[in-house]
Amino acid sequence: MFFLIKYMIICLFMTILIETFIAFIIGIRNKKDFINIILVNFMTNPLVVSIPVYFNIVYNANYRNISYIILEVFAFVTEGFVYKRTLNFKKINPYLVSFILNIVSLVCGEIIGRI
Amino acid sequence: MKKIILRNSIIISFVLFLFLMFSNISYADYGVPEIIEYDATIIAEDGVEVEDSLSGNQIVKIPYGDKVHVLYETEGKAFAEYNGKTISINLEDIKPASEDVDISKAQGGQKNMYVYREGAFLYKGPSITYGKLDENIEIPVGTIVKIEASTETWGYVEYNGYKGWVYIYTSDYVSPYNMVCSLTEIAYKETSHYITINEIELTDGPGSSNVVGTIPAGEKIDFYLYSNYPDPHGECDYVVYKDLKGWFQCNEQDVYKDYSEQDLSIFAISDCEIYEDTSYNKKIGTIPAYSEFKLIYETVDEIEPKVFIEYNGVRGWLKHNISGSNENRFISEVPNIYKSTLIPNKSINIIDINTKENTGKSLEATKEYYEIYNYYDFDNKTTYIYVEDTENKENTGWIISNSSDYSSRYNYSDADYEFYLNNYVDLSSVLEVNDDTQSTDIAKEKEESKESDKRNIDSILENKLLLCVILAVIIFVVAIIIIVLVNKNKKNKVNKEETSKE
Repeated sequence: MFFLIKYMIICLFMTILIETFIAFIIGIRNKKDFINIILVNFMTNPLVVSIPVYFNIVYNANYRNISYIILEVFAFVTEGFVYKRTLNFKKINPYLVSFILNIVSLVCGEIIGRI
Repeated sequence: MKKIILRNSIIISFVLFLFLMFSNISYADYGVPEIIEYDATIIAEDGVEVEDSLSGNQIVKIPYGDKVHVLYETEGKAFAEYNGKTISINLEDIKPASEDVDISKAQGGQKNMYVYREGAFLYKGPSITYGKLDENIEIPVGTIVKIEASTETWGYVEYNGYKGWVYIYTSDYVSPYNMVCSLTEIAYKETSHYITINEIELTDGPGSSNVVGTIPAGEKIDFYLYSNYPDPHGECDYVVYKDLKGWFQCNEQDVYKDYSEQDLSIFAISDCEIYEDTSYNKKIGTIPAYSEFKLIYETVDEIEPKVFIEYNGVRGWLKHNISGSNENRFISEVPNIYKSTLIPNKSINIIDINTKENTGKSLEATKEYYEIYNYYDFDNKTTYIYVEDTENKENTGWIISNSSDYSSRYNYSDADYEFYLNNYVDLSSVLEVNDDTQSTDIAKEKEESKESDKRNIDSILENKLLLCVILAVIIFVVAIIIIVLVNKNKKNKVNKEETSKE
């Protein structure tokens, strides 16, 4: 299998695993909410993973870093928007939910990458 | 129905994820170079007994003739798959099942490399297990080869009508075969001479311990920088000394740069002690403050270089002051290539650096002066600059730096850059090479690479990467549709419930 496809699959599932776990911790219990969280990650994660890798290999690390920042912001905003429309969980602002889930998965990803 | 499909999809995906996580360890993540995977047969007559790489303790017996699928090679061993297990096997116990190699799987790009030492044999495939084409087919030293396709460790070349693979791995980190590579990407000659402090040993390759000769202390040597980056203090350097050629890891204990043929001065900001050697135990003289003296040698330590100077016939070492005070302090003349031009906006008083008083002379406005020395005085908390009239070198003097009094122009131009580049000589232009398709114009290549930010990567690799991005976009769109459908059903359900309540 091409290395990037493998990498995208692993990143996607790691992100889903971490975000569903964090979602459970912050109080989300509804099954539909978990399904939406998983679907939202299917929506944004492959883009956030593949585009920086493309830029890094074809161009250089500067392009990668810039695209990474833009895509993470895009993911946060898009996911927040979707959560606002779909989540039954109302205790926390949906954009804050998106921020928490994204920041935790980002940090965990960095730690795992360095181990 | 949809619920069941969705639930089952999630379960299947999770199981798939676990399978991927635990069945596919990426050795590339551990710094092992990637290869073109291949099937190999066991050639050890009694078969082999190997360990399961994942569990570490399960012994796997593989009989003669059985096939394994080689994933990676490192330090004389192959990591391979056999009956669902990942095993580590000696390279000498296997042979490729077929000599047909799919070159399109070599995802590295094209490049030129230079054969700098013996041992550049052509192999039938991208591994030593394929064997050499012929013991007599060796690319001679001095040849520039065009690598048509490459992996991290092997390059596909055509030489003298023969097509084959040559070992091109220039890093000695996790070497697959404990072989020294005979090729390098770039060769430069540094024109600054170096002098050996102690006797140094030259080896037959970077990271090798095979000594080919020694150079006595106090001898002048030439450095040829064979590396991807012309950094004499980071990479292993190729050294030429009379008839002796070999490799040497440059460090401050063994060599220093020789400036004796250049005219570089040093200025003492305070009284400086001259020492007999770099242990700084025995004092042999003192340089009074505000004196100028000649720089002869400098060690290659970039953080705290040690300088050997001559003052009034006395030769010795000065100790660099890194304490942030004026004590025992000196500064070096700015090399020509880095000199900037200072243009006063108005008349600027020239001062006596000893007394810091005005001398009555001044710099003329709009005239151009070179900056020779520039230092920050820790006691007076003032910056002083020593300037020289660009037209009349005798018209010199110290001024107090006040950026509003003058403008500065950095003189580092393309001409200087070319000059600097000319200090590095591409060896392919020095040695006689009969390949007229190769370009040896370094400055031109650097200009061309400046024009485009895009790396020169293989187009197949780039297309595959682009396909992955397109796939990600498709997944994005499909996910949006599924989210809308799932939540539309939820809305419909809620509306139906409300309607039925009414």
